[in-house]
Parts: sequence; C-alpha cells; structure tokens
Amino acid sequence: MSESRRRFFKFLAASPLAALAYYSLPSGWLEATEAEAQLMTAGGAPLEPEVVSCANCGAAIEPIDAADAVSAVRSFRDQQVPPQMPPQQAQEEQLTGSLITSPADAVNVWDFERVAHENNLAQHWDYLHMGVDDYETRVANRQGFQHLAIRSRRLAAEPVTQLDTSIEILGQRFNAPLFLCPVAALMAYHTEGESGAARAARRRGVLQIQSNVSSQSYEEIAEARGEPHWFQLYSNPDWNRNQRVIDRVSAAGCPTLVWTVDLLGGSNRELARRSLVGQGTSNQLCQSCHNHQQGYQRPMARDLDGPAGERPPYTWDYIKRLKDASDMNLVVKGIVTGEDADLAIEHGADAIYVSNHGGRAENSMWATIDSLPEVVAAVQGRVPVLIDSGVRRGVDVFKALALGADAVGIGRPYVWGLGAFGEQGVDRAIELIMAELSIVMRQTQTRSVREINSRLVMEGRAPIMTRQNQFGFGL
Amino acid sequence: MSAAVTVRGFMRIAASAAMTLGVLAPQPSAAQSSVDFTVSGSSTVRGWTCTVRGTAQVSTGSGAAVRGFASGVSAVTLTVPVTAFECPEAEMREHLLEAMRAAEFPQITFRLDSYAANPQGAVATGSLTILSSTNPVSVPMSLTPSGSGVQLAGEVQLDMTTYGVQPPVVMMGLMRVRPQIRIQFSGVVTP
Repeated sequence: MSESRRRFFKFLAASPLAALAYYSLPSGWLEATEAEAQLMTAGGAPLEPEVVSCANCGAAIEPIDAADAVSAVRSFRDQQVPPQMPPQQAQEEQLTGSLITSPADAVNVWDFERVAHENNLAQHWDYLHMGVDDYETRVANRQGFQHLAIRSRRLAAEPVTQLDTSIEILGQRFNAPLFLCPVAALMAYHTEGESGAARAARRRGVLQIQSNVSSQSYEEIAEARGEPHWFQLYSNPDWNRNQRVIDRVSAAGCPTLVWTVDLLGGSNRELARRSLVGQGTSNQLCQSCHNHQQGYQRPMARDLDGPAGERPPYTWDYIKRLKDASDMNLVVKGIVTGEDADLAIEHGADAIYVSNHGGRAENSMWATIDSLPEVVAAVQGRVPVLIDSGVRRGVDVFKALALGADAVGIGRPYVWGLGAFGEQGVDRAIELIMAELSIVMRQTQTRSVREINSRLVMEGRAPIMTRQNQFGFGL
Repeated sequence: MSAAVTVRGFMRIAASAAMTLGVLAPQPSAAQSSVDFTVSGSSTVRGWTCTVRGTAQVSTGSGAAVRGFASGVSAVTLTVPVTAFECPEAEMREHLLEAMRAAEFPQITFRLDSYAANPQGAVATGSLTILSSTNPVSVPMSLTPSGSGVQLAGEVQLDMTTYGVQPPVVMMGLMRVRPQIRIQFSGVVTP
C-alpha cells in the first residue's frame, strides 16, 4: 500500500465520523481502515489525525482512543447495507419474481407463460410445452428470428402518424396481420376454451383457426366469435369421415379449410409419453373432465358415423380431392420448402401455410422463418403465404412480413394468455404483440403492412436484399 | 293448498317485509339496471370462469359530480343472486354454490360508501358482503356516458377466504381451487 493511501486510511481510522460521510464506503476501504486502527491500537497510543491540511477546510478533528476507533469502524462496517440495484432487481422480478395477477400487468407474452404454468395441471402444461426429440426445432424456431436484424429507416418524406396494420387474405379483411393458430383442446387450459379465444380474437379483429381436435364444436366457437372462422383438418384415412366433417363446417359457414400435412408420418413427442406414464387419462381426476368412457368423441369427431368410404393415399392429388369436396378455400399447412409450395399450388391450394407445427413435427432443426424466403420465392405471389412457429414478439411478426408472409400466427403465446386469465389473457397477448409490432413499424417508417419489405431486415452482416433475386428472397 | 296460493302468500309476506325494512323497495330517485359479472380464478388443473347477471341500484344527486352523473351519486347497491351463477360445467356450478352456501346466503351485495371521481370514472369505496362477512373494498371503474345511460366497467381482485369462503377441493385434494379470484363487471346504468 502506498504511503499516501496509508495516511488516508489512518485518517479515517482516527476519524470514524468522517468515514460516516461516505454513504457507501467500498468494502476494501473499510478493511484497510480497520487494519490501520488495529495497528495503531497495538502501539497503545491515542490516535491523532495526521492529516492537518483539513484545517484548511475548517474541520476540527479530535483525537480519540485507539480501541474506540476499532470499535467505531467495525460498527460502521456492520451497518453497511449492500446498495440496491434496481435494474438487476427488475430483471430478477421478471425472470423469477412474483407472478402477475391481472392481464393488464403483463409486459410481454412470457409473463403469461409463467402464470399459465402455475395454473395448469402438469400433464396439460407438458402437452403444450413439448417439442419432439431434443426440442431442437423449437429452439431453432426462436433462433431463426433472433438471427435476423432490423434494418431501420429513420425518416420519411411524410411523418408516420397513423399505422394501418390491416390485411386482406382470401377475401376477408382483418385488423392485424396476426392470427391464432389451431391448438388442440383449449379447455385443458381454461374453461373458456376456444370460445374465450374467439371472443378476444373478434374484439381485436384477428383471424382464428380452430383445431380439428378442439374442446368445443365449430358451431359453439363461431357463435362466440359472432362470425365463421377457419377450420383446420387432420385428414382421416376414411374419406367419408372427412367429407362429413367438411360438410358440417361448410354448412356452418366456414370460409376456409386448413389441411395439416406436417404430421402425416407421426412425431416423436417424448415429453407427452413420459408425462402420462402412470397417469393416463383413466384416473378419477382426469376422467372428471376427459370423460373418455365408451363411445367418447371430441366435439368435431361426433356424429360422423356412416358408411365407410374409400381410403385414398395422401399424395398431391389429395389436395384436389379436398378442394373439390366443398366451396371452401383450401390452405395447405406445414409446407417448408419451395418445391412443396409450388406443387401444392399446382394441385389447387389457395394459400400456403409455412409451419413445422411449433417444433412438434420432426426434429428438423430448421426454423420456419428460415424456410419462408424459399417458399415465398416459389409461390411468386400466386397465393397468400401464412407462417407460424416461434413467433413471440411483434418484431417477429415484422420480420416474417418483411420476408413475404401475408399473415403470421401465434400458438403458445395466446394459449399462455388463455391458461393464465382466459379470454382477457388472450386479448392482452394480442394487444402486446400488436403494440410491439407498431413500435417496429414506426421505427422503420412503415405506415402499413404493405410497406414492410425485405429491405428492412438483414441476416447477420449481409442484407437479404443483396441476395440473388428480385425481392431479396432465396436464403 | 295450491302451489300458486303458496307463492302468492310468500310474495305478500316478502313485499310486506321489504316495505317494513325499507331495503328492497327501490327509492323513488333510484334506477335499477342489469350488470354482468364475470368471476375468474385458477386451480391446480386449469383456469375457470363463471358468470352471473346482477342488478345495480343507483340513486343520483347530492354528491360530487362524476362522469355521467353531473349531480353526483348518493347511493349505489350492487346485488348478485348467487343461484344465478352460470359455469361451463354443471359439476363446477355445484361446487361453486356449495362453497358460497347459496341456500344460506343467496346474495352478494356491494354498498357504496364514498367515491373519488377521476377523468375515466371513479374509484368507488364501499362494503362488500359475501356470506356473513363484510369487508371494505375499493373498486376502480370506468364510467362512459352512452345513449341509453352510463356504461360502467371495472375489476376487483379478492381472496375469497377473507370472506369465509372455502375454495372447493375436489377428488380428495387432487384438484384445488385457488382462493384468489378476479371479478369483472360491466353494464349500463340509468342516471
């Protein structure tokens, strides 16, 4: 320790009251001050401040007993309270702190995730949370968005005062380029189920796609929404059963059928298998809701009995067969390559839905946002392109729109909202993501969804616009 | 004795009792309106929502001006008939009525004690009675004048155990309803 520093600590040791002037004395200083006091105490002499220059400031420093000095320094040290760090505390609160108790308190959609986790049966939660194999596709879906950067524009010829987030897709107009993905059995998370989500979606003016394996019927959900919505179909090998469910939703006014093709080969959902080991749905608690007794059918599988039909293979020709089965539009869900997008359109698809089932199909480790550009390039504007999987933020919506999507779906985030607070949670989840999207739109000087283009995003250090095609697609 | 006679007899007694107590009969200046209540909560299995339609009796005048009520509000009573609760499942409704001891305590009431006006509406402070417990509560609410009256909407969060309500426990504890609930309400009241 240099001599000047020693003199300083001796001064503090001799003048504890002066030390008290330091609201947050570094711990190292305290140790050094205490050491100096002990040294002087060992000498047995009263402590006299050596620093006389302070006389210039008029301070009167009285000599004190050495033992008192040690005691005073120790007392001061013991009273020291570690300084509070609000930013760290806030982050801690967000990650591990108390759960929100009202949807209005949510800052982002992950606030709902924690509450929904707390509120739901472990098996229900596991079903929603699970991916396949080692979750790598789920992770990739998020990383895909995170690897894209926003290439902001700061000023425009006219100020951005009002945003138009509306879209038109397959003849329907919606307030937002956001839609609620088909998710199975929503009453597992909240008694309001699909109807609660429908009311929130209607209020916010966003599209909702009902799952084929929903907890509530098409008719109930449409009544809650106040207008028909889209219906997702898991095709049955027996064509007649497909025709009956198609007839049913078509008669109820459904304008668009969404055929899922990303699970035709099955999936390895290990968490679901582990979660249900030893539990099943046969125990008394599960039976109180599932009621899977003899003859039980989910709402959209009821009343479909009748003569068996032919069992056509799942090939590209199946698209035409579905298309011809009703007057509804047909969307093919689960496309991740340009080749498949092109073939689907050739066979009659009215829209392409880029999806890997939220990472619940195969462990491709390939994000949908990464496959979107090649799909958009192959589609060449012939039909709308929808996308989901991994969307959590308004900026994710922006990136997908910039890369050519016409509408962007959220799955887990709105189910977290539902599981946390029912309809109000879904409403708030939509509001949050749209608020985030609005910020990005203002920051990039885009007044409408139509103005969001590929020049506004870049991958790493290489702008996508430099890629070899007209719109900068083709990653 | 026919059932009709019995009912008429009961109605006469009830009307007489109400006039005697001066509680149930609406005040001349009071208007009665419907208010929809949504009660939400959670459990160890999933979230839940039940709904009920109640009444709001609002007396105007002799109070500080508040949005939609230029001459102020002198009294407000919200009444919820417990047996009118609707839940998504019959079994859930049974558990609710059992927890609320509906036969013994058929109504939930809120009586306004005071209010503080703000640009959106008011913060109403009053007494909430559930079962036999009465506790003070403060409820922020929005008040929006409309063609047919004043649209009121608000939300309050409660711990039902503070009113002596035991949250339902089903299947020997396999499923437990959590005590915290959110009550949202909305309706149009006529000044």
